[in-house]
Amino acid sequence: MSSEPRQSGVSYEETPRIIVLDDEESIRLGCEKVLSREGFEVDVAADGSSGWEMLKEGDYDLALIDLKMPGIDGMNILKLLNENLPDVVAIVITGYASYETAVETVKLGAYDYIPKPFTPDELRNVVRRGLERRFLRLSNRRLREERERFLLDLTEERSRLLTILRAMSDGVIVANRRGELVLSNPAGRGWLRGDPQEGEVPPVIADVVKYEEISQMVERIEEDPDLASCDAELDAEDDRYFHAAATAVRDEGGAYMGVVIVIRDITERREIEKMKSAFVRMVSHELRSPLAAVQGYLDLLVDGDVTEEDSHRMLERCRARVEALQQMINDLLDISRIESGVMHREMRVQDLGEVLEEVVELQRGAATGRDIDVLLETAGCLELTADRRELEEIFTNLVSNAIKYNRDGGRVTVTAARSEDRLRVDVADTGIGMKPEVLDSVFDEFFRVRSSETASVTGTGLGLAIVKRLVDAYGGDIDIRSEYGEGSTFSVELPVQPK
Amino acid sequence: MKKILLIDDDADLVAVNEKRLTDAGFSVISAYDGEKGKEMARSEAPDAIILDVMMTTPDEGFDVARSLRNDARTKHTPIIMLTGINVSEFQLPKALGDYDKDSTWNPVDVFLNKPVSADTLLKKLDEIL
Repeated sequence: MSSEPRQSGVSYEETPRIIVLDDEESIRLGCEKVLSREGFEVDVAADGSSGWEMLKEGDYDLALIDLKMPGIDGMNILKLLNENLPDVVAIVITGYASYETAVETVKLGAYDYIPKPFTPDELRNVVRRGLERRFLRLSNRRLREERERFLLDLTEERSRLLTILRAMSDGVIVANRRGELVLSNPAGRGWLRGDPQEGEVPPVIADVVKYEEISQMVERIEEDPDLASCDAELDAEDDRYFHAAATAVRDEGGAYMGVVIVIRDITERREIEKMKSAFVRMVSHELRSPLAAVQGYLDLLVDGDVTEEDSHRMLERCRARVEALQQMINDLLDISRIESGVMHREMRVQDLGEVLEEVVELQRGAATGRDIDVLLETAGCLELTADRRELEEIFTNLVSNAIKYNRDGGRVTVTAARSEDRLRVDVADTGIGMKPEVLDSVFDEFFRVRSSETASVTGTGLGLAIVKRLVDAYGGDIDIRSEYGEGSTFSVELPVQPK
Repeated sequence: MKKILLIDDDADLVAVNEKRLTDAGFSVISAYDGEKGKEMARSEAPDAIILDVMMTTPDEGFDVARSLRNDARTKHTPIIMLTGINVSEFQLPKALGDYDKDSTWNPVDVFLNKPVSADTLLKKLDEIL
């Protein structure tokens, strides 16, 4: 006989581990020899107690157990195995094979028994059958565990899905192939009449849905096998707009299974669109007016007979209008930059008194031409942390407006003082003032006071919109007091240390 | 000599049209806001009114036109409305919506988009006068 392990014909993923519990040395040696040749790992124990210790630790696949042993006897080992290691296959070795003993050992969980004396072949056969049993048990258990885990996953999946659906702000409504309502989330139920309870006969979606547009979409999907999805807009009450999309669900064969309807609030998008088109309308008007003026003057200059004096005045006006257009483009870009937050800022400690002095000095030319007095009154320490260019922009706009919308021979008073952790600047004029009803619109883009007094004042209507945005960006406040026909005061408060 | 009233809050456009119309032999009076414009339309009895649509509010021109139409003194004075926007697209449906009940007349006789050439303006004036 070869000393190489015999090919058993069965291949195991891992080398099977076998333990032999017998007090008879010849049996232990014989079993070890035969089974090792089969390629198995074999351990032996001469009594029940040490055998049990080894079984507990050794991760065995199969145990050959002699019924009569010192220490714990075979029957008790079987009991222990049955209670603690039920997957270990137990085969009983017995010297006095009887039907009764066999029945009893099987009752105790033994898989098979082998009577002494046995031939190597009998041993090999009983062990092989035992191992097959063992690996069947293991794979069954693996399958069972997998199935349990899978079921657990499914339950979790379902509750996760329901949680997501519940949390969605979009409404979701699902109908089956018969058009019956099978699922809806709270936002979706807002679009349904009544409260379809679970367990009741599912209502047909066309009967419970509040908006005809939704049932029409379901109908279209049901009737047209090529239609993958369709959508509609719903005008709900209180000026809100909704977009509903219906998507067909089909199985792999293309058979219609049902429809999923998702309803989304698009009011905000609509409002932005409206604002955008209003803005475009304003911009086009504001561009067209100066261009029309310039074109009109140029037509007159080219075609008409105009005096030297008139032509000079017209060219001056053309230049003023073109400059204003240029300014408007700069202002629009500024607004867009402030709004998108991509301003390059250099925050440093600035002396606001100094900034105001410079601003007033630069504007004095325009004021003197119309005999307007500009006064600057500052008190105390006026230091704050800010970007100098932005400070200049805020106060240049305010002082320039106070001069533009003043009357000839009027006065502009700029006062600045610190109050607690804020600096307050008042720019007061003795100009035309504003009616109370327009005060709310003053900071809107393109708002300008338009009247006989202002017909020749050029401006973009964007200066105050920029001022407001800049002051907001610093966490400051701007406030207007105005008396129609008397004058206006713009008050700006800026924190000394912006957040 | 026909008298034309210009109502526009843009002093330059008023100046340009004043010059054009004076050169063409019209007598021109002008107002820079809707209130003054209505006042002058009533007191000065112009033969035609050239009105800007967007003044203090985006459609102040329409308010002025409606008010003039509802006044016996100015009811039949032809009005040319100048707009800086595409009227047919934005303003007209809304502005005319109020008049559906009585669609036999429009508040305005002619719409012209800015900028308007001297030729167009004079041609339209010829047509309505």
